[in-house]
Amino acid sequence: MVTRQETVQERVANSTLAQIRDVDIDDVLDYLHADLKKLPDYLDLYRRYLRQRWDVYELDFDQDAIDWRTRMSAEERAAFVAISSGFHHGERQVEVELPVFMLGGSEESKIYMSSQIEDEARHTIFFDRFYREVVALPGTGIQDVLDASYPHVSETFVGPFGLLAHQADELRRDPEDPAARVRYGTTYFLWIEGVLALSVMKITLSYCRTRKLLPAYYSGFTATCRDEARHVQGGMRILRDAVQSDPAMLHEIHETLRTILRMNGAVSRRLALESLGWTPEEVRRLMIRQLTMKLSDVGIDLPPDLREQIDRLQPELAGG
Amino acid sequence: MPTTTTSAPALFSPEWAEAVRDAVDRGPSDELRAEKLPTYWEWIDEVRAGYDDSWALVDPDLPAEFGGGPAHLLLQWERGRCTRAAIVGPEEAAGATYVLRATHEAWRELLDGADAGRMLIYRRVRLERGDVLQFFRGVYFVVEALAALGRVPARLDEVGRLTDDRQAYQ
Repeated sequence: MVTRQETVQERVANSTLAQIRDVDIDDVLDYLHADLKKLPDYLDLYRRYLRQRWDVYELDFDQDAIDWRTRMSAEERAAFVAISSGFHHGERQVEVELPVFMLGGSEESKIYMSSQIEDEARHTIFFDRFYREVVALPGTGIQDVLDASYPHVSETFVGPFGLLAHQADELRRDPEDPAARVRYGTTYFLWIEGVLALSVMKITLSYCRTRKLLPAYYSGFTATCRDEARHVQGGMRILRDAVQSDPAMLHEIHETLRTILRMNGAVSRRLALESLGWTPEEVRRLMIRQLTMKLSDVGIDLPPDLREQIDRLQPELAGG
Repeated sequence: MPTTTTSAPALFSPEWAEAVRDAVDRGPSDELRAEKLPTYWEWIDEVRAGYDDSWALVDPDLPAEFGGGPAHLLLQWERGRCTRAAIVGPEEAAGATYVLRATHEAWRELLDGADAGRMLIYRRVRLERGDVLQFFRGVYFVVEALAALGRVPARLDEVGRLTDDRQAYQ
């Protein structure tokens, strides 16, 4: 049993872009969480990045475009675009807001962060290509396509992503401010990447795999999920080390989570999750599981009020 | 298309400030509310019910013919009602709970109908001072208030350009 598990994780770790098409999203999520308990160091993550980096221009979206037009219902397309548009803009956002974080921290963490910035830029291009070549949104530049997909983004997107933008502003004033780094890291690494991103990945990739649709999207987004595994592991290391270094930092994590979970109560649009094979309650439980696993794996305790807020979590994937 | 807007108050004039106070205090029309789920508005109503903060909205480069920048609009909230809107000096603005700054170009975009939430995400409207976490605990209320502000007609430059042609026809 142990040997089989190791084999699956090695397969996730070592698959090329062509091979990753056969990898199950659940195995990537297991791969992510397996390393959370020991948390690789920054240079380990950097070395892993060099091995796992993939070329977004190798993907061929021709079959995806056919699937989109001929094998997906209008309701499925609408739900898929609604859920993916938050990711399209989210990737842009985490790309542009990350460089300021790299100004602080250890030299090893800066080296690692350079790889994450490149990952996020590549993911932005992945969605740019998907929206151009499959969804057929108009536009010549990256901003044009972002503008075209923005109407599909929920109004509540400004919650976590506006928060991140302004936390990046706080960091710009003092990139070494430990409390500002922890607040930023809680929003970015724990909530946006550890909960929102992984939940959207699980939902859309399970749909693609079950229905045998959108092969290039499946490959690229599964590879993206493997990249996110590094990001979440690196981010959880940052939070864990910060709390170990100064237990007062736990308060910053809690206060940030209180804000995020407070915003989570607002839902402006209904996503037709059922058309992708999910009920709102299943999504809610998925999000709670993603959050609590990360917190427990890195030893972040929660006070009762936050536990109650988590119990009341809404299946709001765009806004947090 | 109207070319003159003598009836629209100038941006950052006392008349415009009062029109903004009325708009943000009234909130969106039933028609606008229907565009989003009731839970979204319930969230905003709950935040607003006990809201006592103040916002200073700043245009650092208001054209000279409008008094020049920086110009500051102070909006005071008391138990969810916008009780005061005034054009104030920098000292009074600095005492606001939150100071939000947007370039004159960004003000033009907002009044031309740009998405207020997206302007916050792109920092076209920037929280210059105030507790970030506390501010975001009421963020959708702020966004909808900025959107309401954006729907108030105003003159932005000396040629009398109306910023919201839809309302000019009303």
